[in-house]
Amino acid sequence: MRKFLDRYYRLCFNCAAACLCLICLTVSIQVFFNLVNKTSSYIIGESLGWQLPSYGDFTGYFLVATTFFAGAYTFRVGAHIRVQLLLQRLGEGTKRKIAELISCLVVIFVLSMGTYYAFLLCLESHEYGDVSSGLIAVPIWIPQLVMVAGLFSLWLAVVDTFLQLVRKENPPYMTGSSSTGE
Amino acid sequence: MDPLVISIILLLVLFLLLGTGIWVSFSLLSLGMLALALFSNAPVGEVMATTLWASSHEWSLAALPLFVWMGEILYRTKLAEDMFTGLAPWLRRLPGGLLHINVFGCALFAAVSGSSAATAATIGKMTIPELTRRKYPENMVLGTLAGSATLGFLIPPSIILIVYGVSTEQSISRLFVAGILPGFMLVTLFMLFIILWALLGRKKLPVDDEQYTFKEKIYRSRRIIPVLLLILGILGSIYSGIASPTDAAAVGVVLALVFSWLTGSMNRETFFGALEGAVLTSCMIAFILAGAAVLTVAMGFTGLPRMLASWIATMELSPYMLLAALTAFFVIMGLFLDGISVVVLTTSIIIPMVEAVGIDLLWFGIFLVLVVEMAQITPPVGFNLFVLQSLTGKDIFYIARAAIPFFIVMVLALVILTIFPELATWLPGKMAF
Repeated sequence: MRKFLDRYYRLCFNCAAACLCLICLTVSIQVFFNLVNKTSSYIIGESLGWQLPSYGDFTGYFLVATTFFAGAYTFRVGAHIRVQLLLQRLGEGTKRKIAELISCLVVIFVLSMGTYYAFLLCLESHEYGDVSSGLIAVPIWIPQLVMVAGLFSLWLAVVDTFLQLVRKENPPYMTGSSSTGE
Repeated sequence: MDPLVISIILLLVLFLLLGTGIWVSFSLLSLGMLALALFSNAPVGEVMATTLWASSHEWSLAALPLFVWMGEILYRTKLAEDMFTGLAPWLRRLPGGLLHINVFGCALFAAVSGSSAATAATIGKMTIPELTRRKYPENMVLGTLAGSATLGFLIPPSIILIVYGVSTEQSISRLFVAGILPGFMLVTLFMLFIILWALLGRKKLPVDDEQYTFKEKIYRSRRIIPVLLLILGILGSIYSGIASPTDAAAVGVVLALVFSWLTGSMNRETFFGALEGAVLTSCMIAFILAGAAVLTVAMGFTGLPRMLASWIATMELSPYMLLAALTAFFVIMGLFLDGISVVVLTTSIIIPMVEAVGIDLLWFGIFLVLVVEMAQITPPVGFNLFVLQSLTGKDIFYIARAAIPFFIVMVLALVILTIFPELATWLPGKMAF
């Protein structure tokens, strides 16, 4: 189970990384098109009008995927920042464990609500057939489902962490040197 | 209920949430939910879900992971290291010698990176060993580095300005341009301070015996060319009109990949390491932004910022008084929070007040960045301090003490910016769009 979950978090994270590459690719292609358009308006006096259809929408959806798919793994390795002042004072003992348990409980509550209502939002978009306004009409529920899946994975990761703490195991962010990033 | 009572309750809850170590993003999110549930009639869950969605698929926000990624690539490859070799021969004759390399290196790197922690890490990694080997006094080495690394936020591209622009609906390109002159001003002030310090206490400095002919200097400078091209590529593509800041970020990533591949320091390991670091950091920031967005919307529903704004308006404070009060407030917040959290909290509560006294939001963005930069070097929570601690193993309070003079220089810069607001607003005013 442990192995399976860790692999699952990592898999989601890799999807997120792939989506970041897609963002870069989409945007780079559009920049190249802009360059072509600009050059052609100098040379032949008119822009060729090359355009990736709905490129802004797609970039946004890839961004949603990057953010939410990465959530669980980012949480597990401790890259979400927090104020450590008091926690560090508590040392490694029981008090620290209790503080961690409370933090996890609050986050589990918030995420349960978040995931549930995000799912409702997604269902609603599906029901009303909402589509994006760009050239290519993407049904909004698809990227919204990505958000729901990501939130659910994150919820799973926090519950997993909570249970680990209950079983007196150390979650990875407490054992390894947690990276702070910015 | 009295708006003041509500604000005090919410502020206490916020400190409680943050203090007990709940992740910043979830503290903001919970506070938003609480405010919605207690002080408004809006449906909590629905508002939260809609806001989470609306705040995370914003196209302009895509600039953020891309700039973070570019910084990660530069951090892991030799592009940054080459800057040291290129800059050193030119700066060693100034009073203060190679200490200026921290300022210059940070300024150059800030022009390709959006974050001050990335700037501190990248520049520190190459200058600390070199300067220590040449026996420069340690506190000056660390102080100059901690201080000038904060330029990462001011000189475009800047992650903080993207965050500010997205949450206050200001044009990010204009904010970027607005940061240029104040950035130069801060560089100048830092350099003047080092020169002054060196002239007053000359004997503390080591004598550099390496000699270069002019030709050698030019020859060695070729190694900063990739970085200069990168800066040119990013800023050039924005201001020639072929790219928005988001687009320019992608250009930056591609150029950084190409240059690091050409100079031979790109391999599988660096590529994936940089990608992973970028996803981790940008995920963390995106969650904070989403949490802050929920808080902002919740605040809108409670009507609190509006009430506070009109309350401030009745007090007939002058803008200067308000700014002074806000600065004190931010510096205190900055003791415990990182820059991005300070900015997002501000935008949800303080922006209406600032507008009420007639302060230009573009200018206020730059002002806020300067204050946030100061927060980066104040203990106990300051990211630049954390970075330098991990680089040198010195305790953060030691590093913070070394950075005090630079903190004071930044206060001076803040005063200058307030007296001459044109420093920030003149260049964007010249822009066509």
